[in-house]
Amino acid sequence: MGLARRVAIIGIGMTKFGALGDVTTRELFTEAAYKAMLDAGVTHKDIDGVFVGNLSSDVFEHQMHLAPLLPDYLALDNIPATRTEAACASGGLALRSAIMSVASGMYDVVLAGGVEKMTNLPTSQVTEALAMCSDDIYEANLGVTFPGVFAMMARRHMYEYGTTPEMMAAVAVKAHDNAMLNPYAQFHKKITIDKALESPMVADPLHLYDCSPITDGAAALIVTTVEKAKEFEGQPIEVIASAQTSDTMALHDRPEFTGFRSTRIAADKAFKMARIERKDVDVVEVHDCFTIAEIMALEDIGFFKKGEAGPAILEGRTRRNGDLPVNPSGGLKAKGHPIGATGISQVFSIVEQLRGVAGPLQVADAEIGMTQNLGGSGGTQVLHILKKL
Amino acid sequence: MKTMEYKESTITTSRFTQKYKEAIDQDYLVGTQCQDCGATFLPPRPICRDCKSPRTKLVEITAEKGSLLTYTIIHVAPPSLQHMAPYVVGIVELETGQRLTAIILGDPAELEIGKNVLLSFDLDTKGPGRLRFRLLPESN
Ligand SMILES: [Zn+2]
Repeated sequence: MGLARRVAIIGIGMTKFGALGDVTTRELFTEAAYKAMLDAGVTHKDIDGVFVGNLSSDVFEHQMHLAPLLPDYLALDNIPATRTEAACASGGLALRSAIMSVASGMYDVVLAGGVEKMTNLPTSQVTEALAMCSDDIYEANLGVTFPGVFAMMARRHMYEYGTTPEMMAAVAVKAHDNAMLNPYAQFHKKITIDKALESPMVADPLHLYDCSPITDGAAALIVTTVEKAKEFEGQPIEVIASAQTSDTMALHDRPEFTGFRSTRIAADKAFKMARIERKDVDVVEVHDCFTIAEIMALEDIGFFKKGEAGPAILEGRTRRNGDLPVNPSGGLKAKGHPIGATGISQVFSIVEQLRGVAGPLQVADAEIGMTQNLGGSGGTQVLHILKKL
Repeated sequence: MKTMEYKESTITTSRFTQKYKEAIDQDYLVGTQCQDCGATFLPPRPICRDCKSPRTKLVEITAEKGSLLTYTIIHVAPPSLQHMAPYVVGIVELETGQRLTAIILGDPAELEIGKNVLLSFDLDTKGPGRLRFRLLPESN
């Protein structure tokens, strides 16, 4: 398995993430997509197809059939447009679909975007909508919320490996420190471990500051071949691996609750496809929908042994100047988590890092970067590895 | 794969979910047992996860007790359950080996991984949501 044609990302665009008021899904998408087109130097007539990740404009905005609506508003006429939905991995899946369409030779230049407009609904209704991403009959019906699923994993991780609330809070503190320097981030506010631990309980042992926020936003990428990239202005970054896998929908159907088998499987596939080792990765954006998720992701991808990611984070080893910078963008926790946009936004951040244009967020000498985008409670995993050309 | 052998078997739309709902409304659990390898599954499923055989049949899961594998106390609840918050949800491994997620009743101060729980049902609820487990007093 592999890419039949070498693929590159040549353009990136993003909106500000946050509670953005009365803006609509189509407007957010158009801003991010047009920025990506300008960055790549592609025009409307260059684009052969569109993939867009979106969890639920249906629930959030009473709008289905988003795939043609978005290119319509962007003035892309009569184009193949596809919406991907894989819970919080919807964006990663849109990119992967774009990559496969370009690698196969079906299309030459593709727009891969993600968008979510979530803040129209009150928190309790968003909680209910997100709970639909777990098994409706055997989990959501039993009172399980999304923070609840990750809280049960955190509890078990604490029990088996001695992970502490302080280690989880350290993930949030680092995320907020990084987001301070990211102009796109939802939060520009420093926090402390004490403040995080004092924040209200959402699902014990997860406090409010262990949870990513409810966010509006969009991000977009222009994908083409390494060969074709020479025809455009945008600095190309090669995609050297794209991996995806599934797992059981319900957490209780898995052999263990202290990590994601799906992350481990997808990571093995990704490293094999990229022909690199874990130690070759210079910067990574992982799916920290909850602080415990960042700890588990780093262990499952194989950067740390089980039980060692929490202490490493507490020691500062995953800060921007640490030996493995993790989520220099601020991550889902502090940059924000507009569900469908998240997977695309992670890649936006890695492309900036590998181009060397991440400004105050820049990790020194970054040549290889990785993204991990998780859907639901790990039912979907989408991983990408990117490399400076 | 042995898929061809099953060509004449009886696989049709299973409606196992409805059977599960009907059973739970009558205070018992129904799962499936693989007729080829003997593995049992709860909730019921039409194809054996272990050996992939479609020859499965509904069986009553007779467990009364289980042990708590993990749990959380939900403070921010969806609208339909806000009247119950904070409430405890956990994953229980039944004495028969299968695992289920449900609301855990009992004193939250007594909560601990590994504690024994008793299968029970909420009489005011219909459908899968009526499944409950109750913390058993320390004794074994
Ligand atoms: Zn079997």
